[in-house]
Amino acid sequence: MPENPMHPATPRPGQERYTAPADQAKLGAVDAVDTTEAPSSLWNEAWRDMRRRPLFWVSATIIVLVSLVAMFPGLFTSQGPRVCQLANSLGDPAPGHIFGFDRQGCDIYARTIYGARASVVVGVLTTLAVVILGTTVGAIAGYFGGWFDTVLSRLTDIFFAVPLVLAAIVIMSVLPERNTWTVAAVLASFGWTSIARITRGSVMSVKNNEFVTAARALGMSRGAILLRHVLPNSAAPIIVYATVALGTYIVAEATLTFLGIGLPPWLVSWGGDISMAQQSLRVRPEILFYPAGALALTVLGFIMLGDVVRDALDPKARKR
Amino acid sequence: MTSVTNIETNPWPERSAGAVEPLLQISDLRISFTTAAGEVEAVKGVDLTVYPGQSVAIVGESGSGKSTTAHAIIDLLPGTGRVTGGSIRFAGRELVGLDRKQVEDVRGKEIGLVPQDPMSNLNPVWRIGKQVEEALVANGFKGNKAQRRTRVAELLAEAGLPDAERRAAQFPHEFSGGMRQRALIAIGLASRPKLLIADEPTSALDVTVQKKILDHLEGLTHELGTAVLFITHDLGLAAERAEHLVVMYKGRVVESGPSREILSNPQHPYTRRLVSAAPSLASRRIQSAHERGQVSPDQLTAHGSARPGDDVVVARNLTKKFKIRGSRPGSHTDFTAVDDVSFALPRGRTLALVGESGSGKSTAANMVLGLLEPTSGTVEFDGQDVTALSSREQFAFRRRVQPVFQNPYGSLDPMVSIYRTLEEPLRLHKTGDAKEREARVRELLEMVALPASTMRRYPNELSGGQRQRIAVARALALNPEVIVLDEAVSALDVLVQAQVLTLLNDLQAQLGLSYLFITHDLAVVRQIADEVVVMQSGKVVEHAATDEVFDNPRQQYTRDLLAAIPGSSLETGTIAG
Repeated sequence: MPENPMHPATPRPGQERYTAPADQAKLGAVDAVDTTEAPSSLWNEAWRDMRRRPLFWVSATIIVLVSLVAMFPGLFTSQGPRVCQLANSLGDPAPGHIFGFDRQGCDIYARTIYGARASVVVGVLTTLAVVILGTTVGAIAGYFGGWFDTVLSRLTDIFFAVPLVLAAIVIMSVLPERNTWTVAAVLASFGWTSIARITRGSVMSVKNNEFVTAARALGMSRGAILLRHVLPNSAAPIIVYATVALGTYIVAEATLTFLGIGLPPWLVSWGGDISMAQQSLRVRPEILFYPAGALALTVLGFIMLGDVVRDALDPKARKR
Repeated sequence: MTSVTNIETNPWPERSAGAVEPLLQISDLRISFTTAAGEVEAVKGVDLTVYPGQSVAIVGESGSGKSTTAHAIIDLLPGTGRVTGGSIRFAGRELVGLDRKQVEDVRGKEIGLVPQDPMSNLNPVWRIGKQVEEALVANGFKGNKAQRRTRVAELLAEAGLPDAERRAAQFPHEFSGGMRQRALIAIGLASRPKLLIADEPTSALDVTVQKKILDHLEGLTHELGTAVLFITHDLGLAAERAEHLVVMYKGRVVESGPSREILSNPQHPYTRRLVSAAPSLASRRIQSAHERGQVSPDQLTAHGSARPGDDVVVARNLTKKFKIRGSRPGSHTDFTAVDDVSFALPRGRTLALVGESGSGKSTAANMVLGLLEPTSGTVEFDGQDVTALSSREQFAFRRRVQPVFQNPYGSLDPMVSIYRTLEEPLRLHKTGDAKEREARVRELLEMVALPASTMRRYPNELSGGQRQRIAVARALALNPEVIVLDEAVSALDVLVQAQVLTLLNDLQAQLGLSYLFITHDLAVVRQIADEVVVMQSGKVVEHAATDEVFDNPRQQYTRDLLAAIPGSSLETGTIAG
């Protein structure tokens, strides 16, 4: 019988029988638990990841500062925003009035500081409302499916088709009263659709996980499964979107106020000040710069934070 | 296979021992990854030699560095990985340190790759033919359009795709998993490489398909004289398909040599463990701790051992039809997933439902769990029809039947700590106060051989096997009588799989549990099951005691399944354990 070429009798050079010394690669117990490291949840890990990013500290500083200004404007300026003397109209910066005066003779620095509250309140209120409404609609549509899904998804589509600012202009112009609450309500009633869609998709992918089936097999009710298992696992994209959206709602509020149909003129707000600065744009462009700059910085803070949060919560989306 | 013979290759390179230069020679290869925790060495000095036309297999568990080694050969290391030392000589040429252009010359043209996952390795928006053609053109195939097309058809036919010309015009989604893998083999061999790296080429496929494809690949590379480097976790498969084995563990080669020799006489402790754990090589049921004499008889508790005729679950004429949307709006056709299936699970025993994907075994399991309503037929639990339960009775029934699922990464909620995961069933069924529940959680962790400190951890900190043990603990929390194990060990490494199987077996003896064991892997069945039900396309084709099925299969389908177990053709003799 000829020698089988696949299995030569003697191994060829480099293929001799080799056994590593037993102590070289130490054999651990099969699949032992590492008990040395501290336990850490996904949230912990996301936090650890965020902490290492300079962008997080930059955006967090901006947001904390803006929030402080919105809560305690008196801490940052001793001037009142409505203490205006026409004598100071378009006046240059003076000691105690570092940004100078606007056309009405009001202190620009004080108005910029006091304007923060309106923007932040509208942004936060709108975001809260949008998250509650959008998450509820999206979660019900995605989790229960079928008939619920069809109706709610079409409803979402209808609202989605209406441009946010356009709808707000129409509604705001017929509302009898305009204040931070109504602006937030109007923005929220047309802004929830994106969150609803994001939640629906996220819930639909989470609900097919085996831990959901396991919970069903334990006898857990559908509502409890949705609240305890499905929603927490769907939260990451919602949080990311909401952080970015907060910035855009501040912009939308400023846009409406600028157009004269957002916040009323007696309320100090960046949108209103930008609108008024228009008249003096040729003579004194700086008047426009301060409220607009504050607005841009705030929005930038939230959008950057959204970016960092996304990278921390979803490592797959991280840019290399 | 006529298309192969007219190709200019030397099917039989000189084979006389010693006279041939090695095709691939890896010596002292070191590869590191840069991670947040610093530099981590994944491959720590690997030596490996492949001769022309030879087949060599690297065997190891996940994380052993086997794929990393193979990918380093063609400079496809993922992410931050880089070669930090050693050399890779291919056909007399050093591959380490080549620039990108030079590597591209070697890659594909001289070294082909058959990747692991046929589902994600073909571009879904391109026709199959186009993708094969791309491989040809990228590796310097000269010829006009017609010639290219003919060549593509030849290659696909050679890889075993019937009606290749028409197939070439189809898209990946029109192909089954096996057909996609054949297309990937055609791509890998398109430019007649001297070496083909097959990275777990069939681990995503059904066993019978796997066997067909590996047989075909073996014949084809043999004919072309291509050397093959298999990367696999399956020792049985490796020993069956390769003449030379390299066993890797934690980045090192622990043992290498002729495959049969290694299998029959493993020297290194790790290899010994691997050989004794390989399900494809095991020949009998795992003994429980009780049978091994480690548990005293009084530890056996209430539910007790089997009395003949005492069936805890009886499925009668189970049928499940799903509606599939038809071509016209509103129309639908019925798809029968489970067709008139009957079986009985004796108390305290293990019944295995075996079948390939699409056989309806998981659908049947979900009906037993009461998660899916049968279209017709009944599931009786202790003589009571499960489908007719009121919602309160159903809630009580949940305590008695619990599932463990396949995917260790999907079966635990990543947001919930292990403690809460295990406590949840207790709280849901209002068992005990907070202190008693904590004691029970500790007890459960002990049952699945995990330290009590595990309860403060989160699923992402545990390995696949540990998560699977947690899933078993959660299933045990309510003292169920029946556990439905739906591919519960299929995703685990061999050693971990053996560990979980032993654990399940011990728990069965200790607690008198009955298992409904759903799997595609007949090799595992022999280790755990007492009775086997073989399913094919929704129907039961064979139902017998495990030994009976293995020793004396009645149906051709069962025989095919048995023959397809990797390593089933090997006679291993006595194995050191």
